[in-house]
Amino acid sequence: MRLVVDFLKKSQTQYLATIGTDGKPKVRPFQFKLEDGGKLYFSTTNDKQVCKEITQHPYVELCACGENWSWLRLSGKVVFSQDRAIKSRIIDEAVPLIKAVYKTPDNPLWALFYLDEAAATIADLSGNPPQMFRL
Amino acid sequence: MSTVTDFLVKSGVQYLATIGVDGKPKVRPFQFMLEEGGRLYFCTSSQKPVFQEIRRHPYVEFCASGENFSWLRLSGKVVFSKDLKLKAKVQEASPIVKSIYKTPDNPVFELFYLDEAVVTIADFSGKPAQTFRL
Repeated sequence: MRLVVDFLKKSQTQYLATIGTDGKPKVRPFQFKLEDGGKLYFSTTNDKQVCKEITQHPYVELCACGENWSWLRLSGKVVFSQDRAIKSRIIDEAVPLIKAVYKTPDNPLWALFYLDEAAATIADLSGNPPQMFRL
Repeated sequence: MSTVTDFLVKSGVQYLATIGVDGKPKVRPFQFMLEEGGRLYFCTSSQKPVFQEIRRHPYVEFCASGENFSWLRLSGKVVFSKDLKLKAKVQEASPIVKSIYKTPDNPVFELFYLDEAVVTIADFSGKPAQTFRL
């Protein structure tokens, strides 16, 4: 878990792939928020297209690049959470931008989610086999 | 077109989203090769899962980040190309591709471009996103 969380934090930007409401794959920049109790949390806004997509098709995959041509792929099933304490932690600890966008943990537009059935692979071009994690 | 190709080249790496053979979305780092005749070309190996995925579900989307928190999304339908001249050109342009596949006629070397390509470039400036139909 530590390796995956560190990789996500260092990468800063991840790319979230979903299945669109048109049935075609979609991908956009995304940002890991924090790990809590072994769960990896992300967030978005309720009125965004991506929120519709993950509500309809909750399986997603994220990809990010790291040092020395390494990359991480993280897949799982989106589970929305109403956990106010996690939202407060994100406002306090994570990106300042979040606070600017949502102001308070109670903002009804703020959709928090974590990944269930999460599996991560970290690979590189060294010829070493990829590392696989079930989180 | 040059705005799009410039963005792709500068980004260094793009992320390619596909629908997996398990029906779930997949995404991995990818690299734009070149533009030729208004088409955007990419390549992969026929031995990789991504090849099976795009053969089954040819609609894909790429995403890449640029300067000042801008990002590009490029979607389209994969069309494979057997053009050996173009394959040679790609190998000349990319030493890493050349080192992997050696020759343009390597049977596992697959070249493709995007048909029905649509690109959006957006940022946080508050300006509307730019959309291009290629």
